[in-house]
Amino acid sequence: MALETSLEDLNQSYTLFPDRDLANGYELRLEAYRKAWLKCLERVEELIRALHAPVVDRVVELVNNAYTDTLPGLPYTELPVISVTASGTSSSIFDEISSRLKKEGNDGLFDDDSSGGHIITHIFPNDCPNITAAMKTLITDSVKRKPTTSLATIDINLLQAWFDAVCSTRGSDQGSMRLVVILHDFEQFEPLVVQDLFEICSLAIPRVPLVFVLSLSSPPSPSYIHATYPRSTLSRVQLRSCPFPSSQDVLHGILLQTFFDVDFEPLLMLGSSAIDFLVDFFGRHTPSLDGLVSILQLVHLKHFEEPLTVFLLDERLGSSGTTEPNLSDPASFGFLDSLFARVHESSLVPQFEHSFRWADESPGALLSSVWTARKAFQKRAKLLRIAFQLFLLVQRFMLLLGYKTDKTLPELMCGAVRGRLGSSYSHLCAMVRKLRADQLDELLSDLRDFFARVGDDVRKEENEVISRIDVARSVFRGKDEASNIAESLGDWLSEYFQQRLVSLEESPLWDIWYTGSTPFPSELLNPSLRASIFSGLLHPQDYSTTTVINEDDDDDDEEILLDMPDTSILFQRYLESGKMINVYDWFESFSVVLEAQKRRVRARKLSEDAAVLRTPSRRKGKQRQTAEEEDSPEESEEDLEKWKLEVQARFIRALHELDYIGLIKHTGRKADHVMRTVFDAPG
Amino acid sequence: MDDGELLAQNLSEAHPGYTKFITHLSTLASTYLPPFIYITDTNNPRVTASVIDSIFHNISSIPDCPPTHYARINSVVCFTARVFYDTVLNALAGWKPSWENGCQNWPGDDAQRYNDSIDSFLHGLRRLRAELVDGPTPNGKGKGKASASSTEYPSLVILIERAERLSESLPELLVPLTRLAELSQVDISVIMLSSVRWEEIRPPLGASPDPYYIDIDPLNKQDVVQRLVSAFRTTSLALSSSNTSDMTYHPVLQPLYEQYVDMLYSIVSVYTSDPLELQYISAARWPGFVKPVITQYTELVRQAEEERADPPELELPNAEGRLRLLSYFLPTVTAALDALYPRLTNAADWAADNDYDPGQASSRNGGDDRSKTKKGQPSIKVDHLPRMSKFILIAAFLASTNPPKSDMRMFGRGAEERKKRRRKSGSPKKSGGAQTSVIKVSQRLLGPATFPLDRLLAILGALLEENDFESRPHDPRFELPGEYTDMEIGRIHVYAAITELTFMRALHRTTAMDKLDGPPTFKCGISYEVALALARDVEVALNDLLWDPA
Repeated sequence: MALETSLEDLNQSYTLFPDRDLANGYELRLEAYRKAWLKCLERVEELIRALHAPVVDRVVELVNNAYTDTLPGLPYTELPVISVTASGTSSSIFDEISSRLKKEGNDGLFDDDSSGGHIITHIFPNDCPNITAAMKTLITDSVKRKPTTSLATIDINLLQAWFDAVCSTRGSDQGSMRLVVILHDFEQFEPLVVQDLFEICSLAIPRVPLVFVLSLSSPPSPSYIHATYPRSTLSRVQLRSCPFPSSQDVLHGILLQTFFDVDFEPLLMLGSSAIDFLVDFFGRHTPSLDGLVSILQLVHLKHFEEPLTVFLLDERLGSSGTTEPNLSDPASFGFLDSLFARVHESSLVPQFEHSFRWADESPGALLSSVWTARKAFQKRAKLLRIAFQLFLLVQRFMLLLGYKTDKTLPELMCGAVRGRLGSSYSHLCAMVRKLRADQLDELLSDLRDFFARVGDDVRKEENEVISRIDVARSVFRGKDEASNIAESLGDWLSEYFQQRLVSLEESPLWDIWYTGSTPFPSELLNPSLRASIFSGLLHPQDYSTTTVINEDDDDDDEEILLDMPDTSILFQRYLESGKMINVYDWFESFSVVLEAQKRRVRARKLSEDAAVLRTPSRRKGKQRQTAEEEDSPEESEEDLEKWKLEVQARFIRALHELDYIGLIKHTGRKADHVMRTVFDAPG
Repeated sequence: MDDGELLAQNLSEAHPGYTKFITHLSTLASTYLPPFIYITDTNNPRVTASVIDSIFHNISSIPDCPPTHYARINSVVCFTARVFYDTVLNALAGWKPSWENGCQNWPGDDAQRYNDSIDSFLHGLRRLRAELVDGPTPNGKGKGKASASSTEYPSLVILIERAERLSESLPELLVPLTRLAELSQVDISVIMLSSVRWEEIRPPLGASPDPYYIDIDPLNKQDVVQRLVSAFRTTSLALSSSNTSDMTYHPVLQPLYEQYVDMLYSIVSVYTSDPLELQYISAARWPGFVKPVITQYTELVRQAEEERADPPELELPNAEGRLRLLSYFLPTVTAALDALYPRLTNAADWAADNDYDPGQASSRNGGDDRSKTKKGQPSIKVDHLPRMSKFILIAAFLASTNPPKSDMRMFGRGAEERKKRRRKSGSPKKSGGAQTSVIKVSQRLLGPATFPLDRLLAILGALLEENDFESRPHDPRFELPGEYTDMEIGRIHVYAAITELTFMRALHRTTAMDKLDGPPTFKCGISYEVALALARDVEVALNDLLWDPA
């Protein structure tokens, strides 16, 4: 019952700031979040697909060329095996591979699913505990139609017969069709089973053109396959590997092209602390692109906790189907107040210079200032991205000339959004000033090319620096002027960077479109197990909605215990005991607390009953207590017996929970005693 | 008998080095084949199997030899009794199951099953024999007529390759197979071919009769070279029939190939004399080897075309030219052996990577470069692993190599103190070891020891505290020394990384996955070299942390 009521409460207000949120702010923010996240996700997935493309192409090429492009003079046909190292990427690469292979060579003459292209079979380690199961999976997965056969389903000859039949129905496709077998999580296959599988298949080729694709998560070198399989197996296969480039560079590339690209405008800009966390987590714990996607999503989710973020897309709320909140409604005043305070603070919104005029303004005017702020932020962010790209361009140019940088790309990104690249670009520009004539010419043409690619709106904004570059190019003729031009070009660039690479936090209402230095909620993604368990046991109210610490009673420490769940009570007593715990004493102290709980509930009940005068819809206690007990203050012998049993049962249950968590060690050294395993729990 | 000798001679030419064996077996086959033959070939059973194949495919051509029906079975493929029966019967009857008739086994549309037990298999054999006898003479029925002339009896032969696998996968079938003729009352011979001796797989209690033994001698150099040259001829024929303009296997080049194979054999035979391996390496090196000859020839052809003369014939280089070729490619053969024998790469890729480049021909740098890339190939790259996984692997290596008692001394103190201690404790131990006669074998030579998860985490904590603290982002919540590290090693992604490394088989879990009580135990799955590379990458002084840095 308590659970239901609290869930209802939660439904009404999924908000951390109830005093300054809109009534339906949650739905509106969810809407905005969806749009922002989908845009970001689409971009990231597109980039990941682009990263996959070369690997997929290579695999498809190898499959197509298997059995046709062989070296003459080999003693026997080798079984083509393609290993794809996919530790750093998502498993979707295999979906891409198999869909490409299915389409390959499909001329559209056949509508049947199995016709045209190669035939793909997926085998997972769990399918193959032994060779019988492995062969069965291989054959029955490939053979689509249910055979009414006398050949066993584990017989490779069945596959052969089926393949011959398929070839004869397809006619001309015979030479180009391959049976592709994808072995997922190859390291988890039993090596002995795979040895036999490869040997059997190597005897069936090339009549049955089998091609194996292995999904490896271990590195290309030291090679797992060479370390695990004997030479007799290796000599039967023709192993080719397609490693996926997995390193920090991939992450940097994705970040750069998602949040700092000239042509792409993310709805939500990533802040420096999020970038820092992302890079650290990626390098320290998991180089997986799936992990990257979840982190980005979590950043988005976290960002939309803030009530003001309803304005992310549109200041006229509720344009997309949801009910428009009435800003004149008194319930929205808290929200408007906070918005007003923010707008007023930011002197950068000029049209409301006098605070006293606010009395006359409608919410509409306030919203129009939000519009202005958005336009300002978007422009600033876009120009920042372009300036950052230009900065990288110049840096790349200088790197080729031997100039050294001590900052990594993520550091530069963080510096750019926080407006702290000053030392980097001034150093860079100092180097530009010293360029020789031929180098200068090259740089100038690079710069012109760069600005030729940006959009018209940007070119309008960056008129000054573009015209300066054009002037420099037109003036630049011989070596004599080179040093002068280089000097002024350095100055111009420096001035430009100084103007553009400024902190995004200086823009009004920046926290709607920019996560700033909000710390990333890393505990959600990577909690410390021990610490979380202890804090759960010590502060159950932070985790469970059913545990409500009563605020109305004036509690001391002992009183708080009365509101805790059984396991927490037991754990508190555990912390107070010595190295060995006498279970009986533990039980006694536990039952004392339960007695106290019961007494208090009854007392409260009595007072409630007195107030409500025995209404039929009486509220039940938090703890499990039967109605009879409440009705009769004087307990009968039977009730007492029942209560004792209940206490015992609850004790045992709580004890087992602690045992399951691993907090108790049964030594058997001392009768009725168990040992503590935790001695220094945080307070 | 002339025909028999002719056949033996033909076959011997195709399979040099097997003359004795071929004569032996074909004589047996044409007269009386023992019911159970066991052929031991420790060197190259695949080649021997192909020899037996060709003997029995051709034996029926000898006039006074009984019609022979032959089935070649690989006991790895036939890993269950049912598949074995099916395959044997289909092969002996020459029956090809087709999808159209529902992949029915021999004898086709009959409802009779011959694959559910050894008894029905024997029935199947008897029926097969009867059909084979009756098949060619449909008017004569019954055994009376068939037994009238003994030559009419078809003889059935089953060759079982990799027979040693039978005793593992189908042990119950081994005894019936050895006395198959006796059990089935059919004129059938079972030939087992294996690389291990019969004594090792012989069923106990004398359940099987002793086989007729044939041992295959290893091939000598002349035979291997002959074999490779005949393979060259086959390839050359196959290529010329497919009308490619590729000159690599032109028949004219055969003498050069003989010399080339000679050189190859002299280098490779130290490591292997398997003709298949030699052919593999030879196939990878040959295209690059003959390329200078071919380019020179195509150049001549082009010149001739310009001069409108007749195109010249492909000519072999003179003796000096051949020697120069051989000496130039000599080092690359060793490189090919190093890369191809352990299959670090495959022949096609190696051949493409090591193609002859005329630009490098003048200088010897080409060879040097190749040896460099070859050395660089097995280098250990560790940059794909996240930082925490590297530390976990180092900790696992230490936990598997150091004795558990040493942990307190190795990790129990601060960095400086530990180093001092280490040296003190190191030297007396050595002298003590020398005095006492018990020589302790280094744990690294004994293989990794198992360790519980807790120990791994404790060592990981010690490593992180000393080597990783600076690289961590600052967190003001942690003030006590070691508190931050304690928090870090308890994180869920550390456990996830351990599990993932187990899936990668960089760690081996030695307890069952579903066992809940007690900590899981692991073994380290990486070698010292990998651990060293990892340690270098995260700047951990691994040798200082090893109890016994041998």
